[in-house]
Amino acid sequence: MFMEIRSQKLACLLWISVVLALPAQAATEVVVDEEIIEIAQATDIEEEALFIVKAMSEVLAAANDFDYQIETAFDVVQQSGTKIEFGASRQIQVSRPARMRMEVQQRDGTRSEVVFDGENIWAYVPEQNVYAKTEQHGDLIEAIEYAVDELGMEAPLQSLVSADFYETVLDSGLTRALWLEDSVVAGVPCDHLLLSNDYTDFQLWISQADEPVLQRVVITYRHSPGEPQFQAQFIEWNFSPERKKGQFKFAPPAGSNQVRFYVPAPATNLDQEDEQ
Amino acid sequence: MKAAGSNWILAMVVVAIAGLLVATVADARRGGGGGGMRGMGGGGMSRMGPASRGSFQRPQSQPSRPQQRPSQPQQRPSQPQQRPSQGDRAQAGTQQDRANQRDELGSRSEGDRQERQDNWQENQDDRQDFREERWDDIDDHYDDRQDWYEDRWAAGAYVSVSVWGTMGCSGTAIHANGLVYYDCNGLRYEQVMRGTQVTYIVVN
Repeated sequence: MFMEIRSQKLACLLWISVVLALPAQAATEVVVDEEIIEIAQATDIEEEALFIVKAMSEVLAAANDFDYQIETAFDVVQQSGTKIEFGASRQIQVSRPARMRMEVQQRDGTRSEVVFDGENIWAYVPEQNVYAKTEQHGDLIEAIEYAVDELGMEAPLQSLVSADFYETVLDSGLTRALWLEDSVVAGVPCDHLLLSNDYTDFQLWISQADEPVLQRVVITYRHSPGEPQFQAQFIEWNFSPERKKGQFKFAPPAGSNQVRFYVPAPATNLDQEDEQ
Repeated sequence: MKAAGSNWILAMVVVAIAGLLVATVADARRGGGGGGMRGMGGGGMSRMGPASRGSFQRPQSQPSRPQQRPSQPQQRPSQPQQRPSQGDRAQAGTQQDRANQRDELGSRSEGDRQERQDNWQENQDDRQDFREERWDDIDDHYDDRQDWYEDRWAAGAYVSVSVWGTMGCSGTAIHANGLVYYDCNGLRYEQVMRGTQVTYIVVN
């Protein structure tokens, strides 16, 4: 819609410039042309939108320890085509470079806890008093990728804990970055941005503050049937959290059972193709 | 004659139980593709989909090996040349302070822009190289993971907690070699963790 309006505007300006330019002097033509060129050069990547994302990213990058709380929701398109929303409350504590604790309560009431202590990944389910552990060294992003891709965990907006969120955005194959409007989210004045890659559209609401932070995110999976959305509302950011000793250590509760992480086998049909 | 009737009834009961078991495991298998989420109440609703990932990035690693590498972007996004005119933005005037701070960006010379364009190109090339290397890693990792899986589980059927609850199995855990097993309907299940969900998988 935005691009449609812009295209119409550009076409209109081109038409006006042609009409005005006919009887006008050369100097006038130059002024009109410059205006057209300015708009024509305005691509889908707006520098200001990137500037805002970068400023927010720098706030995150400067913080070694921070906590945030989010309410997440996502659509799941059923076989009937109906979209049903699920969600969770998440409290995340980050201590770079390698430690994180995440407490999650799903909307169906089930709770879970995940701890990255720099050497292991722990997952604990209080209802069953069961925990699993697997060794994982390396930085947080590697650990989270492993947890998501292999162990089947959910870690929405995982790139927020990376050292350079801005680079992650660029690296996602960015094709569009637009500043849309001023917006107020939960009482906080924000810049409302629209970014796109070939996979998703993602809208960001970033607070208009000296230390800008994300207030809201909506991701639209526009190539998936039904175009489901993921939404996250940030309830609280804390860039000076108090850390207790052992906060990022997991101590198995009394009577708990340790089980293994289950990793489904990868599909094998392509192996047959490889052999041919 | 009476004995034959009893045998027939017994056979029917066995068939019914076997059918129920097959249906349950099959249902669990269907749900298993998404991590055993389907069938966790709600009449078999699917609870996972692309949006449950909550990421704007295309998944780097797939559960199955992709048929071919994703095509590289046709061309990089063009470097932002100009800030759009104020008329293109709603209420842009209310951001005067921030706009002043950003004027530096808009007032750079053409030479600066060319330099930035070159830098952008260079960075984009680096990113493309990174993607290529990443893809090789994924291929290697896929093979490792296949081996790792085969060392552990030969079966593939697993059931979620809620499905497990409907199977009427004994809650008696069998601890062996540091693992937790349950026997149910003639099969042995290992209690495992899939993501942050407790799950039961058939073991040999």
